[in-house]
Amino acid sequence: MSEDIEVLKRTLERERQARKQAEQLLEVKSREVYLKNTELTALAERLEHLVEERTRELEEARDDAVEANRSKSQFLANMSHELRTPLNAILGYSEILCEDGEAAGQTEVVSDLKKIRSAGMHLLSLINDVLDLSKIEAGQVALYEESIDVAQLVADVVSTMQPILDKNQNRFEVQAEQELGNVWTDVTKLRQILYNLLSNGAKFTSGGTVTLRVERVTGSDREELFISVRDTGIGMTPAQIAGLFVPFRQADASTSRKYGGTGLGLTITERFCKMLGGTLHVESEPGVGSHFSIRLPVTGPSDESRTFGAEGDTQGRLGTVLVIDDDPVVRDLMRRMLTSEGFGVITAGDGQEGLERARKERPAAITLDVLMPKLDGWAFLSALQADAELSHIPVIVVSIVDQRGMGLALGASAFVPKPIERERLVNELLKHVRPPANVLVVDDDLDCLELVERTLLEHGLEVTCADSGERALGEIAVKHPDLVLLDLKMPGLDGFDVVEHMQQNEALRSIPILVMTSKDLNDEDRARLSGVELVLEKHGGVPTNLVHLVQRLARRPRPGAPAGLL
Amino acid sequence: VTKVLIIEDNELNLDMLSRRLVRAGFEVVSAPTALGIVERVRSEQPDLILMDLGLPDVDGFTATALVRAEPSFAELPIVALTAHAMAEDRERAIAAGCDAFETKPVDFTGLLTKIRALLTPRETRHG
Repeated sequence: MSEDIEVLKRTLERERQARKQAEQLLEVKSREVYLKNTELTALAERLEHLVEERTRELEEARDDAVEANRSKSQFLANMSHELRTPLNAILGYSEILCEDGEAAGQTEVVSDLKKIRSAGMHLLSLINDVLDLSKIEAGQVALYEESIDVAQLVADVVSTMQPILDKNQNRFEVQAEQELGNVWTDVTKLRQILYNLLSNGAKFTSGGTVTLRVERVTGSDREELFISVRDTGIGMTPAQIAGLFVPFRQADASTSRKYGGTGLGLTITERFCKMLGGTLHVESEPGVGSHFSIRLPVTGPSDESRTFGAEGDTQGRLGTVLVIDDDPVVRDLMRRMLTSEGFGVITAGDGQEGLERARKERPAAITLDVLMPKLDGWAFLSALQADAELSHIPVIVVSIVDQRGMGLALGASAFVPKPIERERLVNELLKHVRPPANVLVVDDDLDCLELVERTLLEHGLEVTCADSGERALGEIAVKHPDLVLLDLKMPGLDGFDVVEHMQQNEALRSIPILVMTSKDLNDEDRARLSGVELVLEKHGGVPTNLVHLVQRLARRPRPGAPAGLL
Repeated sequence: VTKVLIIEDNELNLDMLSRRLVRAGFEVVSAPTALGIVERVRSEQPDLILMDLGLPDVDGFTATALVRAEPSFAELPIVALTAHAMAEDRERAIAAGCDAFETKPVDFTGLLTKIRALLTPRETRHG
């Protein structure tokens, strides 16, 4: 019996030992797992940190590259400007001398002078290439789309290019028999594309053939204009083709020496093709010739926003224009015209809808058709004028009914006849649409400054702040604000000094000044402020009528605006 | 005789342009700066202004705006001249009150056409 107990005891003891060992082992393993976990977490964190760091470095590198490219484009634009000024004198004087020489019958001198002029014009075309490219790269090239007659364009281009194509004893063939119809595109850019490709073909071909082929084809999912220029010239190697559209890289240095040019023509051509929604394809073989082909959509560069009738850009860099016309085709046409110029466009199909949109969206300008159902143009104008919140919006009457007198009497700002001349409409809009007024607020009391700033910002004005007279003069010189809101009592240069300085400087004299002060003004003070528009008393807080006064003073008729335009 | 006021700071370009305009039958007065532009316009009473945009002291945009701010000069034709060929410069010039825009180097025949168009009475031009 005691033996059994003994056995049982030992068994228990063994089990206890075993459990203890197991527990110890578990603890060791747990610790190991814990350590591994910590290590892994640290590694993961480190990895995350590394990724973040790399991302940041990449972002910085990208920003630097973008910035460098922007500076380069800016530099090219400036340089082109610098080169134009002396070139202006060279071309102008050679023309004067030409006239003199012709009058005096000095044929030899005249012929030399014409060479100077022609070289000057060549230099100008090179400068224009550089400027074009830098504009494209800086994203400053706008599209002016319209419906164009392709056959007419081809005929124009061929007659312009004929003399260049006839050089080098080349034969020039045009294959464009088929009915080409109209396409919706930017005619200036398409013409430039054709010029570039044809002059490129003529330049690198001697005693051969340059063939221009134009046809309308059905592409994979759209109708396209197919243009090809084939030459039997010197051709290119695959390596040369690869570098063809890289700016500032001509086929090789010897090409540039032998054939001249900036080598930017094809780069510009390719960029223009892309802008027009098309593609440029090139095939070439050294010694055999080159073949450039272009496919352009006949309906213009299409994306979601450009499809017929879509609202598109409603903001625009130059402000929003509300187009009121009952004809959807006219609305779409105006939208295309105005958005490509930088305006945002919203539309309405009749006067009633027009009023609703004007109330809701407060456009910078309105174009108005006269003959419309529901509320016609004249009724719309009267309703708009009667609404104090809308009556300041300039309205340009666009109509076949030439009744400018009626429009003027009802408060319209300008009249543009239909059919609409693009440039005229845009010029009228540019004259009347104004960016938000810029107000300079000057006060050494920072709380007051901030309060006024916030109030004006809330009412859609642009605000610049200055906390001293000195700062104010700096801002005025740089920004030419539409209005200066001025405190009088300031340490250093005070409000009186600022007024005086502005009065003495002719460029600044026309900027209206509104004085806000808590100072009791004596006669001498008033005399010193005689050039100031208005003096408001300041009793802490913002005077209730301040915003109204600021808007009225800052938006007085600006130069070039209304007076006598109609 | 039609009187043209040229504001241009580049001596060569001013001389060249003046001589060509005189040959074309215009009377030309000029200044190398737009400082005092309003007084100058008031005393010279030109029929048209050719305004360089890149001027020292007061730039051509501001100068145009200053002239336009005078109600009596609201209709005075102003042609902007500039070596900047960017579209935004044209927009700015027109917004400042210029009636036309000419890029340097000046195409003289084109400039003459613009000047003559601007000098025909406004009603006929817009009608």
